[in-house]
Amino acid sequence: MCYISYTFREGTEHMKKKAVYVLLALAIVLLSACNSKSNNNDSSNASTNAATNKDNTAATTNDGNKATNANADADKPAKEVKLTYATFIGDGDKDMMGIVIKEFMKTHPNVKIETQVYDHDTYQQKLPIMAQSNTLPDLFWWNATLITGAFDQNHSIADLTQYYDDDFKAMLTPAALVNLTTKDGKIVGFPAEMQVQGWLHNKALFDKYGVKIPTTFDELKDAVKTFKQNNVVTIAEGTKDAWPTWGFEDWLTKWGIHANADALFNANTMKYSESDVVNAYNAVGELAELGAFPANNSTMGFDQAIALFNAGKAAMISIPSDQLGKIVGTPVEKDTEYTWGIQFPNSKYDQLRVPGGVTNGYAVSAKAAEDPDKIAAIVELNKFRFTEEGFKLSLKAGANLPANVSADLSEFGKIIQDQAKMIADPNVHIDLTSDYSFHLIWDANWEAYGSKFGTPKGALINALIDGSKKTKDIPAELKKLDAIKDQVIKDWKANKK
Amino acid sequence: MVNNLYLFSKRWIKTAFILPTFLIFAVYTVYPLYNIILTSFKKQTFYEDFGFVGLDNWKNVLKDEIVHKVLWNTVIVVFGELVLLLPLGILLGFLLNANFKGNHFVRVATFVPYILSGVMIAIIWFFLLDPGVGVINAILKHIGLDSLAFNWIGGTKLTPYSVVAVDTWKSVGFYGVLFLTGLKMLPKDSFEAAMIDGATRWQRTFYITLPLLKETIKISAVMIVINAFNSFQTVLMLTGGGPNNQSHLITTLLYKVSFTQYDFGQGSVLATLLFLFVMAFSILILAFSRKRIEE
Repeated sequence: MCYISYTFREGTEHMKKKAVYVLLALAIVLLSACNSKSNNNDSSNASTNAATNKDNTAATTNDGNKATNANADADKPAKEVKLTYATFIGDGDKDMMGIVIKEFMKTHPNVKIETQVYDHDTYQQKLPIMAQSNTLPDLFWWNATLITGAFDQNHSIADLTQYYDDDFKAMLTPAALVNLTTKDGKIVGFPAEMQVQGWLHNKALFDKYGVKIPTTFDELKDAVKTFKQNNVVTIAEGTKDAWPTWGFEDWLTKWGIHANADALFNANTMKYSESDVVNAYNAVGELAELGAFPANNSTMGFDQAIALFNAGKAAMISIPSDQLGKIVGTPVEKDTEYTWGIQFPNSKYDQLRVPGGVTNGYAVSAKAAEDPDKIAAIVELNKFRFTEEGFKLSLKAGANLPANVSADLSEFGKIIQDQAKMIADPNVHIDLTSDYSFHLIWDANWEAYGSKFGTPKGALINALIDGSKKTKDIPAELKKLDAIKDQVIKDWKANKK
Repeated sequence: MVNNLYLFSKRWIKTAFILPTFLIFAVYTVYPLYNIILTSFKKQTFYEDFGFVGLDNWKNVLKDEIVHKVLWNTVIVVFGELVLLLPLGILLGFLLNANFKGNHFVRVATFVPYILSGVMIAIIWFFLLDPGVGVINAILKHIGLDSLAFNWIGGTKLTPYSVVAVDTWKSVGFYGVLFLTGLKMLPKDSFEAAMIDGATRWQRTFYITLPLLKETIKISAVMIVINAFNSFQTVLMLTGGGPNNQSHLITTLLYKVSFTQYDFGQGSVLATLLFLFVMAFSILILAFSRKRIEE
């Protein structure tokens, strides 16, 4: 009896196992059938987007005012194109590409663009690794000189020259492609915005405390004293992020860093510590000692500084073009006044010079460019950006594209209108073919040369702001920068190709 | 028959079983280590290798005052965590070994921080410790103790101590459970004999329990030291190494030098230094343990 019950139990177990195996096998067959069905659908689609989009793109550039969206073969569904797009701006409506992508996908339902968002510093660290390992996203934002540098080094970035036909080039201003063109004339990215560094002032706070919006360094110091007495932060600036020193780098320009670029960084006939640039650092140190910056700025990142300004708790903020979207549309926008910042009347250098340029771009991975459908979609997307509709969409995100478009800006907020007026101001010397950075002299090689000097140069500004270095430390710190500069120039000249 | 025995000899089979592990060890441990040490004598960026530069990288790193500060910060974190985590872990182990209502809750509550993400822990502590927006200083100012509202993070002095506090809070539950396990495995007969001889609770603890726990204490000490040297997320999230690189540890500085300044040569020097420190500590503790076992 026991033997029979045991055999019966064993048999039942065996049957159960068989049933499980059969079910598993069925599941695998069903899954693979579904997959092959979807693959068959893709391959059986007769129309290719590449040819269709090229035709439509030509029509768009000729027209100039319409977004391209028609599929020539209207009867058959367009082939689905999946793209990845990487950025560090999380809010799609604040990202000049993200806001255009949303509209583009509405008019091109077959194109699916997945946005990957990274923290800014992490993003900058990941991209060179991705470039080196050829694992870049299909389309991604990056600094223009880093795009050309990566292209020169390992060709993981696509050469886009062939996609810049005469019609497309006609949509762009002359400065648009300067920083995205390699030494041998290859265009390796699509332009981002015209990058200029401005200062936003909360006029309501200035009016409340009877302070004039400063136009000179002395006026700024007076403003700091008044705001400090009233427990108001004058300049919203955090030093946890290393990069937002650009507003103060602009002061280096006003004290001659660009005017003396050849003597400082090429011929090396001028010491950094003995140049007039010292005055810019002294100015930052003086402001810090007067209490212009938030007390806890060493643990404050750029986004926290923006939040402080948006909350109406700071009077001023230095902000580059590509970050304006974070203030556009906020309640504080109506109270802002946009200026190029203060001048130093006792400086002999051009105080109207505004460093700028199309210093950022959108690159395409070489892998994505090998797929004709992907590259066609990417090119069409970027051509759409420089139509009037695309230009206006980018403006909504705060980005003024280098496009030959005359658009009515009355529908836009104060900041966009102010920035456009300022860029168009004939009295200002905006050199859109330049960059903030001196390292263009060093073969524009940020990794090997620019970063060695540029990082400690910016770090000194942050150190003065957070109080870890005082004005009295400036001479010694600049001597250290001189030693670094000498070594970098020596290495650059020794390895010059 | 004899030929078959030769063909499948024990040595051959042993080698075949060890080889995959050895290969993985060689590829993922030995080769990267060799590469790091080699790179420390080169000038190298992401894309370019400029070749050997002799001892230049080592000289630049070892004479840099920031590196001296960073080494000091790391020493504070390592010794701080050792001094705090060991005794707190032991005390927690004793507590968890006791029978009282709520014992399970205490066990879970102290262990939960250990399983949470390090980034999450750091963000939570940021909102406690930050001098501007942190809860601690806000409470201190509210009750009139403004003089005690220090720069727990963001200043040039206190950040390493704050890192010790955060890492200790995160890990004390784990070491508590480790010591609890050790206590559960202690032989009961020694205690029974001591009780018969009239030993007090304190005498049993100091003359029986702690000596029997020595091996657990040594293993815990090694783990604490290794984890302290590898502390990374806490500093990165709390301060980013600032102000002016003053709160970096070796790990965060080597990350910054390698991946933001693209100087793999100097970054490799820091990585090699870290490896040497961890190896030195581990060898010391192992040598001491071996001596103890022989005795």
